[in-house]
Amino acid sequence: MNMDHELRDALRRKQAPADLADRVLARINEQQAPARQTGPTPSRLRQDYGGQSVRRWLAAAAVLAVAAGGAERYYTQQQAAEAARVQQELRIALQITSETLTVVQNKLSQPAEDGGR
Amino acid sequence: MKTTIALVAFALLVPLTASAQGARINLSFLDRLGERASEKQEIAIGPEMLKTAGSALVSPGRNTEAAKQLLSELEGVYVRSYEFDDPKAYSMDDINAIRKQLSAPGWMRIVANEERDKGGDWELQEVWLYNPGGKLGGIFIINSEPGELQVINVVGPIDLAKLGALGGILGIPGSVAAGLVR
Repeated sequence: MNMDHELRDALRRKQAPADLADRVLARINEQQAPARQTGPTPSRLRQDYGGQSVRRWLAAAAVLAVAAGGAERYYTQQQAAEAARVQQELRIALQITSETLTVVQNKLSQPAEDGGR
Repeated sequence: MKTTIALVAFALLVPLTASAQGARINLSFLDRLGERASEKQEIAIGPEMLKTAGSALVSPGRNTEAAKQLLSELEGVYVRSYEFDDPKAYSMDDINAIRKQLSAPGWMRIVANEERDKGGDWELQEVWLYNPGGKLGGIFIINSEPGELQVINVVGPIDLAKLGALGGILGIPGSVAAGLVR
């Protein structure tokens, strides 16, 4: 039984090489080392997150500053327009007052008309 | 304590408010005349608006400071000016709705001119001063002619001695301002 003989020979217990454990550990270290180099450390993660947070706050502050500036400019323009409108109305009001007083003064100063009135 | 302070403040403020309210005439009776008018000016300028625009209106020149002070003390300027195509567009009853308010204490008529002709046309010119306690607090002017009506109510303490300062500054003829001061 040649085949039986070969099978028995293949399954026979053999002594492992003496440096097998060292070689396996070295192989494992080789595979893990590049992964460690590319992945962020916890402190690096904290730094990155902190940086992003500051940038977000700065962006928010910039948006708020622009919005506040725009609102203030709009308010100032509205105030100026309102002041101009009031000035125009006051000028007309005083003009009408002046003209009315002139009419009253003329009525009082003119001699009384005879007949009719 | 807070209640006492509030009551004292209220007691101090009420006469001021009452004084300003006393010189203010309700012109809303004229609203329906405005609907009939062919031309109209309806102007209502309150104290806040006067503070905003008053002093800016006075251009530099003689009596500028007096005019600015006069305007800063005003509490309101209310003007209605109507022109009608129909000379009989309104009646004396419309005017009397306003004039009734002038029977309140403090009002004193200083100018009155009324004319009627045989055709039924009439004219009325009146100038009233609101003068409670000897201090001028407002002016009311009516000029009513066929097809035309002007009603003016100026509210606030007005120093007649300074009124002359407005002559020539705010478009008010000097002769008219001087005439009022007399």
